[in-house]
Amino acid sequence: MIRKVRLEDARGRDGLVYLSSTPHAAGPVLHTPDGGPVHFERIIKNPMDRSESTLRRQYKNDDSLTHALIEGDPEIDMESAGRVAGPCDRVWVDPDSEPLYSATMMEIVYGPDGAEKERRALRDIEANVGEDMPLRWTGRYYKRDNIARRFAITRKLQILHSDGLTFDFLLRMAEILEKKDAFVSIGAGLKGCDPLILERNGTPHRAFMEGRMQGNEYLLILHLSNMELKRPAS
Amino acid sequence: MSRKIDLSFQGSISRIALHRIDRARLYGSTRRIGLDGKGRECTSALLTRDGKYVMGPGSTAGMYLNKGCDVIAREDLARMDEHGQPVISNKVEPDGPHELAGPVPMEALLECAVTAVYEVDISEIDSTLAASLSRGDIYHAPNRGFLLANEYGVFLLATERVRFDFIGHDQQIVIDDDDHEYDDLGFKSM
Repeated sequence: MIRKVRLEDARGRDGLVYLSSTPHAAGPVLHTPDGGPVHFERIIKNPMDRSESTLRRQYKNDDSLTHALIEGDPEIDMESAGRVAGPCDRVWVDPDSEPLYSATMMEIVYGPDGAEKERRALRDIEANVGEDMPLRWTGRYYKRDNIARRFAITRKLQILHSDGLTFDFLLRMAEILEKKDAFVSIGAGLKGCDPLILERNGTPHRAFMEGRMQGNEYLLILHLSNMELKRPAS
Repeated sequence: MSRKIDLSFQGSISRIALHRIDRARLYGSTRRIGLDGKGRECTSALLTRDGKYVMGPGSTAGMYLNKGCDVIAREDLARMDEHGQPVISNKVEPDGPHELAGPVPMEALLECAVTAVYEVDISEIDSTLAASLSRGDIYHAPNRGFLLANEYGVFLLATERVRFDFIGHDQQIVIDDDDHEYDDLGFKSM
């Protein structure tokens, strides 16, 4: 993944740079035991009109359902069982197993104890990282040890230059951070106080930038954390 | 429910229980639901493209098929790399305890991304190791992750290594242009 973002330096000047994650190594390819190709398919076991809950609605009591199961195979649809499902669409289904043309979307909020706190109308949270939303250098510096002990760094992105000017721009940032031997907190939003939301409705991440130099080369890494290292309350 | 693993440190073995910590346990979580016209909670299901079958959770199974569409059991599948050579998994857990290496420098941890966090009960740890951790030392258990302590307690961080290279001025940044949103507009047929 590589994307263009706007990044501010210590003096508040911004430039368009690239954010890149490490390429994932290609995973092993699966084959038959004799080396032949295999492909993955989604197979239908039983459609919803043959599910246990549907059958329980059809038969008034356990005895009649048990009798039907012994007499016939109401739980198996001979036409569909074992069929390759092929491409499917995701739909909402009401408690009567009927697909809905539209559903009212809600969001349930749970507390750390797992208890429901509130239900609210769904609202989309837009990404705040992009070409027209600068990531801001907050000027708050943290020692490496402090970051590694306080936060679980779950994601790392490399910052890369997009042209000759931004090369110098990033080189200077790396130089500052190496001299300070510290990470700088990078924030989003107008004042740079907000955590980074990389994609719509994505998890907010706190970001810390590390900079290193090697001759005339730089390394700028954005360390992203979505949780602190602490014990849950309960 | 917690899992227990054995950690070996300077010849003494500590049997520790691992309790996984995630965002939901620290900060809570949210879940999206759909409601029908009567306000009843609905479930998400799959609808085949021909509109004939609606499949709820557990109504389908993923299977690997060969050329003749016969099912190949997962345990019979051979894993091969891009050159067609068999791949042997290196994630085999050792039978014995996990030997702790270290103390390791902080940079070793910072070169990794955390994939899971577990809390560890300090009372289950060997006293010499506990004292070393409380001084700020970090230990590495191969195939397991890093063991460290802070003011909140002792944590085992499962990690995967993330490697970045230094960038010079002449370095070409290769952008993989995967923006094909206009490819299917069918201008060729006009």
